[in-house]
Amino acid sequence: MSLEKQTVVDKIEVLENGCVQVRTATRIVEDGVQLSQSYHRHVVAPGDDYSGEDARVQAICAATHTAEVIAAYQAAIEAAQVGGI
Amino acid sequence: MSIVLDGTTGITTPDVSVTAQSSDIVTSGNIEAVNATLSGGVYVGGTAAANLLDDYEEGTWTVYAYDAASGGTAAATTTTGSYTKIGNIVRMWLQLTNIDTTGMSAGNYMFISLPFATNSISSVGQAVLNNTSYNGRTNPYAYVPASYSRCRLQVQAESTTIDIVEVGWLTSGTTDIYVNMTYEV
Repeated sequence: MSLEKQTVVDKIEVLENGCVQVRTATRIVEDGVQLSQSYHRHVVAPGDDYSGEDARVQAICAATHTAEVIAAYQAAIEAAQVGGI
Repeated sequence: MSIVLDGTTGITTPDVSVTAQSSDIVTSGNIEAVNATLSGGVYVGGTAAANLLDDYEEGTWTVYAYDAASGGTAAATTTTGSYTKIGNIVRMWLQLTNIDTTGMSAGNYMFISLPFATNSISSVGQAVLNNTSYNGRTNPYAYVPASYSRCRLQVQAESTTIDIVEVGWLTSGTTDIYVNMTYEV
């Protein structure tokens, strides 16, 4: 019997504003049969440091987080910086 | 018309595989099973796009406090928050305790990471802050603007303007923050 813990980025979603949503799945596998799976999430926004991300996430961020996308995201953020609801 | 196997009306044995079924399965009765795996979704109460429940997910995310809405410096203190996503709704809970703000810019607004970015609708949630200045206000709450990947904390009191919590309002090493919020994605 072999038990193995697998951690893999199993879903990468790119939103219209450039935010990259990353889901990491942690799986417990026994003799090739998955016993359990749990999810962990994070978001990489335009302008965020993605150097420590999974290689595929880095590639996607490099392609999508262009200077124009980052500038547009920053502009949207600043527009919402005034306190309000 | 009925199907009879081994003298019994209905299909009781062996198991029926419908993996090659290409047309709809229609029944006027109920469908009972232990689990169902759907690569698409399920329509509830109608067949319009608005009736389609196409996603459900439970999980965690690493909660960071930042001194900027994007990029910026993160607090040394992190924790794990929990979320449940049902369709386009995310319910999340986080707890940051004894937040160490060393290295963060005191005059900047403070932001907290989220498991999903919001859609075009901003949301408000419950927040509790311990050992934190309210800058003369009384009512703290969490607020996430549209298309944000981080929420912030705001305070307000009767007949006063809204104020956004700044890093410098926290007492490094002792401030605790709790947020419970539901928002659209």
